[in-house]
Amino acid sequence: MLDNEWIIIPGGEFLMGTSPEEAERLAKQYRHHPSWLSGEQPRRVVYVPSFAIQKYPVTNRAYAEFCRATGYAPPLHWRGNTPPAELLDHPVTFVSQEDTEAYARWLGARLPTEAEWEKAARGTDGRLYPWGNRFDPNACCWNRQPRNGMPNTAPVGSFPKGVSPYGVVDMSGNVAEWCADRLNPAVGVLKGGCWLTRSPLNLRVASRTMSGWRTNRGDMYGFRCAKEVH
Amino acid sequence: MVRIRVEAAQGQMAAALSEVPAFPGDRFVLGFPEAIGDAARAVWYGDIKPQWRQTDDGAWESTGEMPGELRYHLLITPYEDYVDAVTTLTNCSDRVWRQGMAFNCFNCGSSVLRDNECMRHWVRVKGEFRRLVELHRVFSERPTVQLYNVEGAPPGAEIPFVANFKATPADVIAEGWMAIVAPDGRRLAATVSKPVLFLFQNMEYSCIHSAPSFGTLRPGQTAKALTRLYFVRSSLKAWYERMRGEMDI
Repeated sequence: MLDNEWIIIPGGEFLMGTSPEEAERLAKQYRHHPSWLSGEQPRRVVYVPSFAIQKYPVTNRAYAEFCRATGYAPPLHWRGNTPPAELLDHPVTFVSQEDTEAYARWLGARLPTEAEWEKAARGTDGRLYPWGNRFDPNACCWNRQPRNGMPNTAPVGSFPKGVSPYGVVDMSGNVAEWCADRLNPAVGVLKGGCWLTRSPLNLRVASRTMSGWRTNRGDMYGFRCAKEVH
Repeated sequence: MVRIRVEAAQGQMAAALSEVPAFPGDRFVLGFPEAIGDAARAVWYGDIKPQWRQTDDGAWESTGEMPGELRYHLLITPYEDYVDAVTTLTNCSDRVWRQGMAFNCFNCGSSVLRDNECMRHWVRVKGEFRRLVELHRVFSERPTVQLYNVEGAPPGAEIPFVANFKATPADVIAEGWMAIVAPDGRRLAATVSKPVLFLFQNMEYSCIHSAPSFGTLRPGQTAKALTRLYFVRSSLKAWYERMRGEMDI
């Protein structure tokens, strides 16, 4: 069992999003039309005040404490308030943005904004992945199975090679993470790709194409919390 | 002959398909129709509680009605590797519908076909097979969805139902079908409508739609359209040739 420690991200500017030139290059590399990356453009300098973010996504074990303490409805794939034993240290899934906000409030925290999440994931230098600019198939939980059969989430912290410049883990893959932002009142921002993601293009931390209904409890969706630092 | 199994959801605009020979153990959920009626004022899923009935030959039919607006009859007939859904739509309003439509949702999210990135979603544009990721996509407030213009139908921007999604790329005009190829590359499922109004997909649920078109419907007028769902062990090209012959597209 891992202690989900808080990592302090110092205030300051970072490079957010993707430039048109980089989008063009990536689209060619991964055989996508460049417009698939239009939602994350342009690359811009964004100032983010200091904040703290959880090192790992919230696990089923941690979410169970919340459900037991508050009577909040557990995820659909649990047996009552008890998560499957084999998934205790996996990220919680089947949670909506609303569910994750409720958990964060209970913890005295909140969801990270998209800018906070992206800064925690890529540092200040605009890298594509938490670990650098080159995709490493052994640095995150993704859909690497070449044929039939589904992959699944992995216990948090299983891919230490995927650590971000600030020491945050699992920002690419495993679960797509709800951020506090919404694209419209009904659509929440999801970042980072997930265990089902097959293209390295969609495991980049700038990608936001998974963003969906904030009430949707998908098996791909998880989260981590953030909070102010003083 | 082994036939695909249809499970109707009584009181709902929905059914499920199972025991599909090409996809053993998989289940496909249909929102048939997820929306229906006047493209300028469609009636959405849940607003009609249709009655389902199994016919003597193993097909299922449902009838739904919104008094003063529309009435529809849906006949779902399963075969060994395809399912036909014939919709008959009547304009019960006192308005002329410029465009009658059904928004038929074919959800592949609980099957091996699941593809939340559109990497294995295929259409045909300008005579070439194209993966959806190779086509122009308009990022919108709902980035997981996209509607596509089809040949022989009005541009999406002129169809109120489509325009509401604010997501139709004007420079992409596809044929009236969309397919998802399995990871093994040897099986696929596809949706084809005739006549067809537009295509749609949602990465969030790995669902695809081909929306049948009923054209202009005056008050009291009725029209019929077909949506065919294929579940085949085949390459995309071989299936396409078969489908063109069968559907006369």
